[in-house]
Amino acid sequence: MSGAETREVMIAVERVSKRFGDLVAVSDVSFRLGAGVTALLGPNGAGKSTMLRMLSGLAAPSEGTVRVLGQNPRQDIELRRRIGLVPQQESLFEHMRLREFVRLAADLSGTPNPDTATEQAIGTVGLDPGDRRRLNTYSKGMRQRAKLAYAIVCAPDLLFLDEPLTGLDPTQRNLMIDLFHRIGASGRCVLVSSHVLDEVQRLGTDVLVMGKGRLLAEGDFRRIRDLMDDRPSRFRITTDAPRALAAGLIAEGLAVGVEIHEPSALTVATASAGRFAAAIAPLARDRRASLRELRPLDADLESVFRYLVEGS
Amino acid sequence: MSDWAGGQQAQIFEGGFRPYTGPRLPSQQSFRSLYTYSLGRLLGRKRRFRSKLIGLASFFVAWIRPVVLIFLATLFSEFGELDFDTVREYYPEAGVVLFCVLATPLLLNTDRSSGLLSLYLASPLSRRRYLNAQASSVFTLLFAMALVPLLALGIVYTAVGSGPGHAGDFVIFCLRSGAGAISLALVPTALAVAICSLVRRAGLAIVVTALCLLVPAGITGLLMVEAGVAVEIGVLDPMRLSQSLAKRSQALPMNDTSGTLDGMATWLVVLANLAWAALLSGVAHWRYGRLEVER
Repeated sequence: MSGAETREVMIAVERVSKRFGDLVAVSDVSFRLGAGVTALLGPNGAGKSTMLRMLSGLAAPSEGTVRVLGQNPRQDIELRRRIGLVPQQESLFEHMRLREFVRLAADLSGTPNPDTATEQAIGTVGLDPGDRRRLNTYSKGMRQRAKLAYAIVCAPDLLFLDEPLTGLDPTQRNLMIDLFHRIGASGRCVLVSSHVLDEVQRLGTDVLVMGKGRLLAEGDFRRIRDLMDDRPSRFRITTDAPRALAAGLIAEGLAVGVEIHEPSALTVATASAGRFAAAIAPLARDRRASLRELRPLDADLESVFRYLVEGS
Repeated sequence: MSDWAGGQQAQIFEGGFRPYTGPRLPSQQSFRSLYTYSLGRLLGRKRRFRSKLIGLASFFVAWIRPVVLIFLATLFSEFGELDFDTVREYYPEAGVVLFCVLATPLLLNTDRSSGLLSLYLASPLSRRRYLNAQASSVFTLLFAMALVPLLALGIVYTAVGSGPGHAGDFVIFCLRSGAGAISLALVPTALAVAICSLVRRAGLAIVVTALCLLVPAGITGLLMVEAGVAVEIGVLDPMRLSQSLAKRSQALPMNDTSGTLDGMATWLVVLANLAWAALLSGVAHWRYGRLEVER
């Protein structure tokens, strides 16, 4: 897991499947999550939204169990006030004003001082509580923030966000990601779904990767990359003696493939990234090659994602 | 203002996320919140004029006749006693049908198509409580639509000396009117909510609700008049059953007009109304219990 090995388990999903007629939206998924920010990554149609709906109690799993804070979110109504949901769709409460919209959530969740809570939530997402415009006049980014204010006004212990960064400009995106981290750091569980790798990479390292309804991987994506034994790791080396270094790497059995880019670079494919990293400096010294740059080419989330989802 | 103490440990007072940490009200609060919000929504409160049109049109249709009657009563009361019995069984069936047909899908089907339902159900609001809150808001407005004209007529006719003679009679009249308004509002509300739960699109829900409220009256009336079928066939006509019970609540003599439900036993009318309300309410709750929230 992501988070739950060392932290208290807040979400426990055990062998959950969800079918809609013949369509299997989620298939035999198990994971556990604790406090902090976790990204739920997957292409469109991977089952991310269905999983978030099951975690929110909106949909019942066809098989398996979902436990949130030890309770069944589908049956425990009181639990729902500890969950904040930001759905993907846009056409929400279009004729309402921001304050009215967020205040409704405060009322529904039984906040005794809804005005104060409403102002705090709106201020937190960087909107103006005094804005008199209707939500249908808001930009997409502002609507996303309005939905986030709606979700956090009840101060939930768990926050589920379905593609919350769509439509935000870079500045707003940074603010929102920063806010997610603040909420996660305050002991809450924040699960953010996205299919945009750049977004996910900035959300942190803990990921759940879904594809075609199945959970493909979970945990720190760098560790996931390390676990991909059947796929060589690739490095780019800049050096003044690429041919000598390439010969040394092959002779030592450190490389399963080498591509030389004259005059001063080479790309190395290695079956053991750890052994390669430990041996490259001594080898360069022995071969009198000066190492200028050593850069992993596929240790990023995109490579992990491509490998897991697309198999390439 | 805090004193600045140079060299002491720094503090951040505003971290950007300030969660509410106060106490919570019981989860029944969510029912009241949704009920109040839906009442405002049905009436187009704080919304553009076009959102108010359904409510305005329905209440206009429902209340125009009593307004005219009140006007005439105040104008012509000096020419002699007015016949209160002719107006005390006035129930605004047309307004009830119009409001049921147009407003209920606006509430329930729009929630489903826009995704509001997922937000509601993610709050401490069970499906049963959600449905009850929405149905209660429709019922409340239909109840008010039916009751207010009768009470207004009762007050005006009493003021001009043609209404109930004693305070006790007036109280009984009010209670009977209340019972009649409940009778008139109950089954149409249940019918509209049940259809909206079964039909996804608001437009289709409007058509089906209108057909279910109006067509059985035509068919059962025709069967009674043309084919000589017994009046008990009227139990298949939910709208006229509720009208019949509302009129009976005023305890006026039945005319037994051909093609109407006047000849049906009162116990059967009561039972049929309760059966329809229970059946339709059961259908709506069953459907919402199994509804997949897709958005």
